[in-house]
Amino acid sequence: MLTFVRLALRNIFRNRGRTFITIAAVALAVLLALTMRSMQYGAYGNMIKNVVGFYTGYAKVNAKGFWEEKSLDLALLDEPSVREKILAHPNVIDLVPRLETGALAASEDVTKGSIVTGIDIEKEKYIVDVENKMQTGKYFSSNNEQSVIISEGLAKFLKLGVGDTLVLLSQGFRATSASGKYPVIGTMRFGSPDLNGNMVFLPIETAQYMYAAEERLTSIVPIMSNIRKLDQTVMDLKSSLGEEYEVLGWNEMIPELVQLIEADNKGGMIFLSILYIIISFGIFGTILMMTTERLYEFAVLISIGMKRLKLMIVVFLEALFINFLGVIAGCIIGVPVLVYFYFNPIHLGEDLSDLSEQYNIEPVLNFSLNPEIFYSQAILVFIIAVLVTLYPVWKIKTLDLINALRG
Amino acid sequence: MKPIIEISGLEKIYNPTKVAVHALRGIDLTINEGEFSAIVGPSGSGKSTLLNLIGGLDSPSAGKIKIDGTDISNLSENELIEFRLRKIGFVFQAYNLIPVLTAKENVEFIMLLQNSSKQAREERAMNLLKAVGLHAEVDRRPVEMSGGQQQRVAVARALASKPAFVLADEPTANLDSASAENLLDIMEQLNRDEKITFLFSTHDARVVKRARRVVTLEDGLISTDISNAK
Ligand SMILES: Nc1ncnc2c1ncn2[C@@H]1O[C@H](COP(=O)(O)OP(=O)(O)OP(=O)(O)O)[C@@H](O)[C@H]1O
Ligand SMILES: [Mg+2]
Repeated sequence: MLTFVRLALRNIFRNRGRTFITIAAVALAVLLALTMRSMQYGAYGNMIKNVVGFYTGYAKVNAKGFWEEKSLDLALLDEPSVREKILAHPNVIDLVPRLETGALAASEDVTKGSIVTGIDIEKEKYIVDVENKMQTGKYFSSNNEQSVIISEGLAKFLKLGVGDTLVLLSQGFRATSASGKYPVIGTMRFGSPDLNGNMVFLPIETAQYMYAAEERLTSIVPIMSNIRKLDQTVMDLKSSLGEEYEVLGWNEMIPELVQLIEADNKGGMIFLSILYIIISFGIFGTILMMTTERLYEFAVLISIGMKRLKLMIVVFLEALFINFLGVIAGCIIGVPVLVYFYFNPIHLGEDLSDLSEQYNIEPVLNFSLNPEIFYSQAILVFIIAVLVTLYPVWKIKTLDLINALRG
Repeated sequence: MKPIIEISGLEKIYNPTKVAVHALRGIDLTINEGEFSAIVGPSGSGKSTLLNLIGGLDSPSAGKIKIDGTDISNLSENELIEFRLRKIGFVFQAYNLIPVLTAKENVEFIMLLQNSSKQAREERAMNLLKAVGLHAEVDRRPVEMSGGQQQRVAVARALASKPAFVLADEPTANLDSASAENLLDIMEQLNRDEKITFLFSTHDARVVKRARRVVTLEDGLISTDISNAK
């Protein structure tokens, strides 16, 4: 066995040109597969971020039954013990409290149904960074300030600007009536037309007061340090918070998005399969060339007394080594490339940004650094390469000595 | 004298189902131990075909080949390979050597396949390379040697396994005349001093002159068989 390994290694190290070309072919294949998969994952991340990250948050904690009923009556009591339990999770770095409900928003002559969100003016920056989305006016300065910020679309519809007064009419906690009159101190803009046309932000205490829901929150959004551990974190929180609360991941809150991603992933798989086929042919071309070049050599070896099986083992070992090196090389080159694009996503031109805005997605090609991409693509390309290198092995098995020797 | 190769009624038909080529049409030939014999004949007369059959690289359509007493037509593919390894030394027309191995490693390779010890391999490889006049080139790779030197390494390799005889199909075809003469000197010397049996085919008149027995093939049959005890 050692002899085979030594012979294989000699073939690899003493024919550097051949080795280099094969390694390069495999490495290029790995690089292509990595890039493609990273972009696909990046796109899903982008979709999730656009929908989830800009408004709902990746997960949230409600009182039991709230998600089903969406009733303010099922708001949870903002007790320190709840916050402590959530914050105790190692993946949770902070909390964003919210009081989300609806109201009829009215100006002097127009009314419209709207989404009213009471926000903690500092913590909310983790999710909807209202301050950075301001179009006119200024941001809140305290959590009990008596003013509102409304989204651009709603402002336009209600014909309101900074300094004008917005009237909110709704039902408060436990069927009290709730109403308020607040000066508009600013307008802000959402990419999503849906949100842009409907949003009213109030400082959290102001909202709690108006809705007669002091100390109450409809949801607490845990901010996680590692989004990849979302599922685990949700499970952990479910068990630590117990029966009185419900903890939802984004995939439970927005199942449509999960379906969208799954559908897109199927398309992505087709692209990926096409890429694998191209890769297979690319590697096969290289291997074919080298096999043809070596048929005479193989024939001489068998003629002088080397068993075909031994030769097959040597050539297969060679291929294993080379493919392994190629895959490693591909990953080594791939890491800085993906890291670069991860931090410098490709921004699409203006033409496309209109289009993507319409579909509610940022006009950016994002890359993902999910390590799973590396394992899966490295292993897949390795398997493809090994399968392809079965060709010379098969060729040795079936080689016609006389014809090969005649050249 | 002990016969090493005994051939009777040997026929070879290529493509028996399509356009059949009757390359050998009934050869009877015996080669004895210690011979230095040439197979000659025009192109297409069947020289390579005959040598390939003797070497067990191809199977005959009819007839018998006995090598050192063994009928090789009854051997399986793997038995044949083993048989070639033990009994026959091959020298091909060109590109005999494993390109990634040095001269010495190429000679040792055969013994490696025979599982001989490292020390025995090295010693014998060095001796053989010395015998073919290549003591200075032992660590060169084939690309770093001339065609003549490569053929001499091939002869050394062919002898490494202590075969019953050496088969060489046009060993000088790719060599200039000086290298060809030199190769023949070495083969002749090995034949004389070590009693190695050589059977080679050739086109080359100068090579023919050096043979002690000349078997002429014409159209798949032996036309003349002349021995001249030099
Ligand atoms: N593998 C093969 N398949 C079909 N026909 C073949 C094959 N090998 C040889 N032949 C034919 O058999 C005949 C004898 O060929 P062979 O190669 O034995 O001749 P040769 O004497 O060695 O010729 P040369 O001097 O050109 O090497 C020729 O007609 C050749 O075309
Ligand atoms: Mg020939």
